[in-house]
Amino acid sequence: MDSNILELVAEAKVLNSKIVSLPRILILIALKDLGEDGSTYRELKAALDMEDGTLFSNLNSLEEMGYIKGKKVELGNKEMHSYSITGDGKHALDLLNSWFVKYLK
Amino acid sequence: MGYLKELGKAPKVDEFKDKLVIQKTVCLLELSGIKLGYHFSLYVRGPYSPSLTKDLYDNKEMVNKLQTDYVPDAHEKQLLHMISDLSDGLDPVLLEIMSTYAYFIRTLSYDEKNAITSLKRLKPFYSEGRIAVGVSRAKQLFFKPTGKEIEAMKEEFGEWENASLSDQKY
Repeated sequence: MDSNILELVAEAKVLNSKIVSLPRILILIALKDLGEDGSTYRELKAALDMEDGTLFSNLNSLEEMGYIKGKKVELGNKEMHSYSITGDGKHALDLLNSWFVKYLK
Repeated sequence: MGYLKELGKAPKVDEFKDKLVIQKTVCLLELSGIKLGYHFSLYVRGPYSPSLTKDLYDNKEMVNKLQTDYVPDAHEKQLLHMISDLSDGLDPVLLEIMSTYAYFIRTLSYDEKNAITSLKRLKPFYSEGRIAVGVSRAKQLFFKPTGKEIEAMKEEFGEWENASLSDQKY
C-alpha cells in the first residue's frame, strides 16, 4: 500500500482518541458481539484480567461517552452489574478497526 | 422451542438468567451432536452464540409463549432430560460450568488440565466445589467408553461378579 500521510491524518480526525487505550479497546471488543445481552462486571474482570480500579474507571468513561450502557441483572438471588455496547460504541470501534486495518498493514 | 417445551420451561427473553440457560443448554446439545445450526465461540461469557441471541429477540413473542409444533425425537428427549437432570433442573451455574468445560475439551481440544485451568481463569467467582461438580456432570454427559475401556471395565467388574457368584454357591 502506498503511504499517504495526509490521508492517514485526515482519516484519524474522525476517530475518538479517548477510546484508544488498551483497556477501553478490550472492553469494547469484548462486548461487541454480545449485543443486548452484554456481560456482567465479574465476567469482564475475569476474562480481561483487569484490576477493579482499571476496569471500573474505564467502564465509567465508556458509559459517559455513550459507548456502553449499564444495567442491573439478577442471577441466583444475586444482583449484578451488566454492560452492553451501544450503537455508537460499535460505530466508534468499527471506525478504529477500519483505520488500523488500512494503515497498519 | 420444542426442546424447552419438552422440559416444561417457559423462558422470558428479557430475563438474564433465562437467556443464559438457553445459551448453555443449546451449547451442550450442539456439543452432543444435535445440530441446531448455532455456532459457538469463546467470549467473556464462555461459549456463546450471537446468532442464537438474535433469533431469540427476533422471535421474542413465540419464544415467551413457546409457540412451536416441533416435537423432539426419542434420542433428543433422552439427551434433553439427561442435561436437565445433570444440571439439577437447568441450574444456570451448573450449565455454565458444564458447557464451558465441555467446550474446551470438545471444541478446542484442550487436555483435562488445561480445560480446568482455563475454566477457573474464566469463572474465578465459582468455588472449587462448584467447579468440581460441574466438571463431573459434564463428564457424565459426554462419557462414551471406548472398546478398550469397556474391556477394562468388564475385567474389573468381572472379578466382582465372579466373587459374588461363588458366594451364592454357599
